[in-house]
Amino acid sequence: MGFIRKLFLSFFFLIVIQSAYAQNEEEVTKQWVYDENERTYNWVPTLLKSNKNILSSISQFNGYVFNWVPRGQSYDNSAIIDGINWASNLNGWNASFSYTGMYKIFHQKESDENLAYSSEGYGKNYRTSYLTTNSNLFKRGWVLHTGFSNASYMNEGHIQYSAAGNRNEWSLHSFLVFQNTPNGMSPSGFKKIKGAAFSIDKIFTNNQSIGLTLWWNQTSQGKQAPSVLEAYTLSHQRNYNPSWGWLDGQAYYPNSKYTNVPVLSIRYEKNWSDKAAIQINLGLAIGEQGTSQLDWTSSADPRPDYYRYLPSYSKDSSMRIQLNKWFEANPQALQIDFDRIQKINKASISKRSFYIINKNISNIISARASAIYKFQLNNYWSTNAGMQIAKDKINYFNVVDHLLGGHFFYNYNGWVIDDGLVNSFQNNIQSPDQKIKEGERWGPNFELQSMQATSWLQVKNTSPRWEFSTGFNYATDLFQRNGLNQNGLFLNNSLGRSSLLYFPSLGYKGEVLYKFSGRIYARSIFFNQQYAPNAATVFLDPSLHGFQTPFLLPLLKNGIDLSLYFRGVDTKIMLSAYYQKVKNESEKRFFYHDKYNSFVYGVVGQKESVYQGVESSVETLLFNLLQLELSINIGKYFISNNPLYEILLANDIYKVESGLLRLKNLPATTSPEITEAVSIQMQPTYTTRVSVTGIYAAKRAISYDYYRRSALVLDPLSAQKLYASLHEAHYLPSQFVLNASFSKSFNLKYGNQKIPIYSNFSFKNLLGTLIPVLVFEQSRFDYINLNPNKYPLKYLYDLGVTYAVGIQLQIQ
Amino acid sequence: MKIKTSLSIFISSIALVVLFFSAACLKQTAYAQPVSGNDTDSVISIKAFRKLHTIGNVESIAKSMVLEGTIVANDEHDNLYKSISIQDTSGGIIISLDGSSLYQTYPVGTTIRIHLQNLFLTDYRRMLQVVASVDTSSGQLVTTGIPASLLSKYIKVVKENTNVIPLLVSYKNLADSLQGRLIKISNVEFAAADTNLTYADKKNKIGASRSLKFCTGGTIYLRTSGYADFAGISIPKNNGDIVGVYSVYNYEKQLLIRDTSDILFRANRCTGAAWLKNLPN
Repeated sequence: MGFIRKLFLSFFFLIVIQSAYAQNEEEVTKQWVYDENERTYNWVPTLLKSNKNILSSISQFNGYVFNWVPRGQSYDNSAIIDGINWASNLNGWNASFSYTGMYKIFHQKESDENLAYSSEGYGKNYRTSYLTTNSNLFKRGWVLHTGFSNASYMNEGHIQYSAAGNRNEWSLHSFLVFQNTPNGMSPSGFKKIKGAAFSIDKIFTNNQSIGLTLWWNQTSQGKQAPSVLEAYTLSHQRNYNPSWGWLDGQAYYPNSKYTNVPVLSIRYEKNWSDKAAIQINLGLAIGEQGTSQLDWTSSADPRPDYYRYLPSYSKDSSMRIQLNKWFEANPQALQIDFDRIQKINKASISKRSFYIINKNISNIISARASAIYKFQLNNYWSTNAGMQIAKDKINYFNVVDHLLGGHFFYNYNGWVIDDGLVNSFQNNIQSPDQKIKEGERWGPNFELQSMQATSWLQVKNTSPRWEFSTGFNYATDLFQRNGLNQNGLFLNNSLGRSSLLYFPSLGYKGEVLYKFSGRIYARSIFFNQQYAPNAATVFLDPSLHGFQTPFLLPLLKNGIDLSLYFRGVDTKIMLSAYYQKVKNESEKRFFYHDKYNSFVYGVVGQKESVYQGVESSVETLLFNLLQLELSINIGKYFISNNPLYEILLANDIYKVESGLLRLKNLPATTSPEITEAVSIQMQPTYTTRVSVTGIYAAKRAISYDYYRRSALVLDPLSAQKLYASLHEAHYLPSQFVLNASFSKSFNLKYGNQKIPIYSNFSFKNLLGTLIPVLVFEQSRFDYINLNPNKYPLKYLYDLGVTYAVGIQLQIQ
Repeated sequence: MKIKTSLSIFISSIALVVLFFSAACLKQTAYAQPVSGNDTDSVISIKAFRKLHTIGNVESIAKSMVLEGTIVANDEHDNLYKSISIQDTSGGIIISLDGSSLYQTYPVGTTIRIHLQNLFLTDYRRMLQVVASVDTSSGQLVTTGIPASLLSKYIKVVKENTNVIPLLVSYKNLADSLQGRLIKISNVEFAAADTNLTYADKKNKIGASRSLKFCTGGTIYLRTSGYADFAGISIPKNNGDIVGVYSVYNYEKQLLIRDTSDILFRANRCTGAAWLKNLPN
């Protein structure tokens, strides 16, 4: 038996090593992946768990293909791990990306210790995660896992080891993971993950404990680009991706994102009997995150789906036929010709590169300190209070990753409109006409700093019939920009520190719960919350100057809901009605404006939205065999006013337009307004589970470009056909998606020991429905002839039928 | 027995995963390689090709034939827009291409073959050009160049870095047969009234014609686009040689330079009888 155990352990490691070797082999090859696929695999195990919140679970793991978010508003993206909220007010630091592929190491549990409000209501910090062994969520022993998926990664392996110590002993929890998608095997391209996580804790006899957590993940993965319908039709692929191409006979994927940020946190906890507890946490993250993509200057647009290259651009019908035939016969013409690009760079007399692969880099230092104090006054009253101080500093810059055959790249700003001044396009005026070599920095170079201090207090009263709770929070946010180089366009505003910008914010919330009986109760939540802007909103374009964005006001969210619950032994029913209003929303966009023949900043301010509707869910056990979950939701999410806007020329921030946008009654979100979901889980034997989930989504809006709906454009059109197409809401077709999973566990006997083996198979979009996961209006619009088809909608489609297979071995 | 069953199921599952891995390593997304056009079409000289055209008409080229020539001017300095000029030993012609930064793919000195079938031969104000489509629905002739996506279909590069020597031409020999050719004229200077001007109006992107006077008598106009990167530069005052592509605007003789390095004015301005000939009446 020992031999057998050794045999299959060797076999398992062989797979792990084989896959790791494949990953190393692929280091030289660029590949591709679509970010959203990350969830595909993780969708499976959660489905098999009992869910306290059906809506949250089904929408997150099955409904994301429709961009279904309960109550319409996007999730709070806070990443709270072991008591520290790693979310940042600065763009460029994505905490959840720092542990991508490592979700299985974290365990989540519901918590009301943080005051953050989610769109689903009070205390639903669904992302409160634990890595610390103190959470008692981890099983001791080894877990070995390998998996295969044609969606997000081709092969995966992870090893987990947990050892729980007694008092005065150390507990340990550790995890190693790799994932690898070979070149071109996924429509999204490549993916390489090497990650490790480690947590140790020690509980002392005097009710104190200390712990340390570290995770470090090196990930590089491709990003898929959306395209226009015409290109999809020409390519005959639902997963057409215009941003890769051929180089030296191999597929080459320049679009990617990567992370390399080790994150460390330490904690101290002390309990005073069961009445009170304090937890103090300190955290530090230092590293780099970034993206890479093809960049070009003074040269033809290399994108194969650029509107001028497609047949529809040609006004001549015979030429359109010729072009259609050409693309049909030459599918490689719909991908980037990197060989030609390389030839152009090599042929340049000065060996100047017109095309490069550029890396946008965020160099991150992120520090956190938090404290949570919980106190139980008596059987009725309890309270918790806390505070967190967050300090983030990010240095943003570009690096030439690949010169594609040339010898240097000029440090010029590619979008500056030539105003005849020789210096306006210099990215660094102190070093004009700088020739950048591979691996060197170029472009904007600046820092953003953010400091946030948040404090909150929550009080709860519980009685046999009633429960009341209320909470207050107060936060201050400080921002500063520090320009590290002086550009030729904004000589006086690009270099040096901006003034310190200060934004206070506060909020309150309340909850009332009445218990009609032990099974039936009603609950109401109300809240009013201010939010400080993030740094990207505060500055108009921090990469170039320190000017503030117009219309800066605190974002206000308020709302109320009323829910009725029935919680029977086998059946749970929920019915909820909600109303939420958001004020002072703002948007900023940088785009090319045909009318002004220039790049511009479009700024929207004081936009208001309403989210209202009814949610319902039923969970019941049928014939002691089938667990049935049903959910029907109807909402109305719309913009409720005509907000202000400005158009500013990028060259000199000169205001060329301002006024009102005719947005009233347009959809406020791309989340479907009507959703119906049914999930059936069956357990024919103790070790076998089958699950099928179907979701129907209707009234899905596209993502709108606001600026073409200005009064300036729309009012003169009020009698024309174009007015209707711009003014009225248009929805995507209603669609249905069907997902299924099957899991089976076995026990392998080893002496007196049972070694459980878990396997699961999951299938997504079984019917192969062509579902657009993203549809948006391009920011470029034909402002001269007002032809809405000149820059058509862009799409990104779901992958279609995908599957994942996983096998896990647990040794305790 | 039960252990064996469990074990065999587990090993089978592992084998299944290994099979998938192997497939993953072997399979490659592969597109067909582009099919090169056949070069068996008959080559026609530019002179013979030009003869197919009647001024004001549009000739659709149905026959399979190939034009071979060396690029003498392109859009490198934006004085030509969406076009290149090619020449062979018999003549020159403008080829209209609907793309930007053409100079990067088609630099001066590159010898190319253009497959003419399905293209059109036309003229703009008597200047002959090859275009890909024509539209007269607006009452005017609107032409479009070969679409950027089809450049590789219609144009093949035959040779690179061919040395192009401009043809030395006197004023009296300037004729339509020189259209599109790189020529050199000597002993010329800009009219005195133009010498305090720039090549064109760079600020407002408006093109301009500046009078180039032959010391021996006669005028040719230097035509510069307002988009040319040298449009804002002052024109030189001296006298000398100039190289450019010969062009016409109706019956006006014009010269298009590729860059200011095409102007070699080092001598003093004309004096005496020759100068007198160029005085305004």
